[in-house]
Amino acid sequence: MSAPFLQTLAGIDWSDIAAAGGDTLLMLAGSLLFTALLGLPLGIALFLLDRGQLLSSPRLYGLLSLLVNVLRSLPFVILLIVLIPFTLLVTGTSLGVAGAIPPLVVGATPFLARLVETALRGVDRGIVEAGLSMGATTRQIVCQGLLPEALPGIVSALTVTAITLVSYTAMSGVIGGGGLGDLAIRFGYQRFQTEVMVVTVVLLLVLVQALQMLGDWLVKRVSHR
Amino acid sequence: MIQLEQLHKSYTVDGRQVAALRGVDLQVPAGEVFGVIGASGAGKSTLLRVINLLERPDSGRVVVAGQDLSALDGEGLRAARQRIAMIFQHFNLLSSRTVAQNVAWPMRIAGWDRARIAARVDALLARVGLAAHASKYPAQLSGGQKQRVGIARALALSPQVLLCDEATSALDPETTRSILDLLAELNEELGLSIVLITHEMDVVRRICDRVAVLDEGRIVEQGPVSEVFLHPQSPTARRFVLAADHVDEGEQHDDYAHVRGQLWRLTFAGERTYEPLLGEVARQAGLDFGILAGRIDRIKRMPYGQLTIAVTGGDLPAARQLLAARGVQVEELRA
Repeated sequence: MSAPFLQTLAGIDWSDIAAAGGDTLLMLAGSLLFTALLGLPLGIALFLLDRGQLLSSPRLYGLLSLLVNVLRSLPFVILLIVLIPFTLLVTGTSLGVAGAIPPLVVGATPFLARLVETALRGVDRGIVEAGLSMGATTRQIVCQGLLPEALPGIVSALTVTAITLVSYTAMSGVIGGGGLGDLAIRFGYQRFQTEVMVVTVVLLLVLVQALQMLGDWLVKRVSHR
Repeated sequence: MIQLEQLHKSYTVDGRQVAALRGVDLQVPAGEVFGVIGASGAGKSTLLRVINLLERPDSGRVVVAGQDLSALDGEGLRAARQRIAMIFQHFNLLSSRTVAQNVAWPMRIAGWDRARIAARVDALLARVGLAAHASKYPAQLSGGQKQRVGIARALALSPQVLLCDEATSALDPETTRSILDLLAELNEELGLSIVLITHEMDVVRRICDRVAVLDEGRIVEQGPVSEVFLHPQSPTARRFVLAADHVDEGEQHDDYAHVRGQLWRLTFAGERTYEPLLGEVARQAGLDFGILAGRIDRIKRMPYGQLTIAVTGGDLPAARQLLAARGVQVEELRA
């Protein structure tokens, strides 16, 4: 490697970057947790309420579907700003890791819900029929039949959602959310420290790659087709 | 065991009403193997699913083991369904679960404890010959083995009725035979009543006691398999019998046009099947005959034979009498 490049790297404040990286990981973990807690049930509800499914209710399905579509059609940057009052209400601050998590969850939950719905639709209809023929309740069919069968799809859905959340965390820098994206904007962009920009981007890339590999490995483990 | 009364069911497809069942009446006595045969779209799949109310009929009554299913609430219906098991054409096994876990599913649903489930799973897998495959996943099994898992799962809660939805249609002929043999054994061992739907007369011939022929949502013929198979009355039944014998009626008609003499169809059943009846009669009546078509086979466990012969010389009325005296039915196909 050339000497100037090494000199440039030495000039970077690595403690800033480490702190920002930690923030990004915290935001990711926190938002992924709550997104999963909300998105999974929402996805299951969407699937069950659809026409011809176990809890078929075209009206309720239409309503939920509309809500999901509205949230998904809002650009995340807009959502960040619109949700500031809500965030203040929930966490007491609209800044930092805590301030970033509510908009991240609101942005990613409908996304995950759709992916979960699709994963459940991919399960052979015969599984529901088999469950019904054994006298299973809807809950038993979902928990003991549909979810285990859809697990590989759900793990993929969580992987895609986690990666989407990484890019969302970078955007939350706009409202002072902290993390690597915030660092890239404040130092890399606003203060023309290109090297900081490059390093953060590389770190984000490594994170995304690691998430994808972990997800793929998990899918392989839970898949028995 | 099963009583279906005046069942009607129609679906709306692309805004149009399509009738699947148009007034079906059916009785299946306890311990019988009952076949329903029909072409695809005849309504047999709907008919089968009405028995455990997976499909609700628009009108009519479904009574299983003395219980009117249509009158039950959700809880009652679920309890009733645990006594009416079902196996499927595509097996419908959980791909994410092992063979043992698949067989355990109905017992988990019924709320059995672990130890009881484990013991029952072992016994069921041994019964269907899959004891060595308990920890495999369905993807590692052959089609026949998957259906055996399906059967073990269906037997888990000791049902009174087993519904078979084209259970052998996805299997090769040899595997089909072994699955049908297993079903026949279970019918005898457990006194299990079986209703199966199929489009293959051979399946009916192999294990059914009685058969109903379904065409466009109506039962056009029903009776003991030997009756329907040897003397089909309706065009639909005749088509299925001919298809089972790989006979093309038009082709056959052309072929027989060149044959001299009367055409007779002889039907005989039981132990007589293997006796040299025809030779004896031919000698006594001075009959000359040529065999045009024939089949010696079994209906369930009963041997039977059916021959189409062209008779020329000799004392024909005497021959007919001699045949009749030996219990052979003679039908004149052409004088």
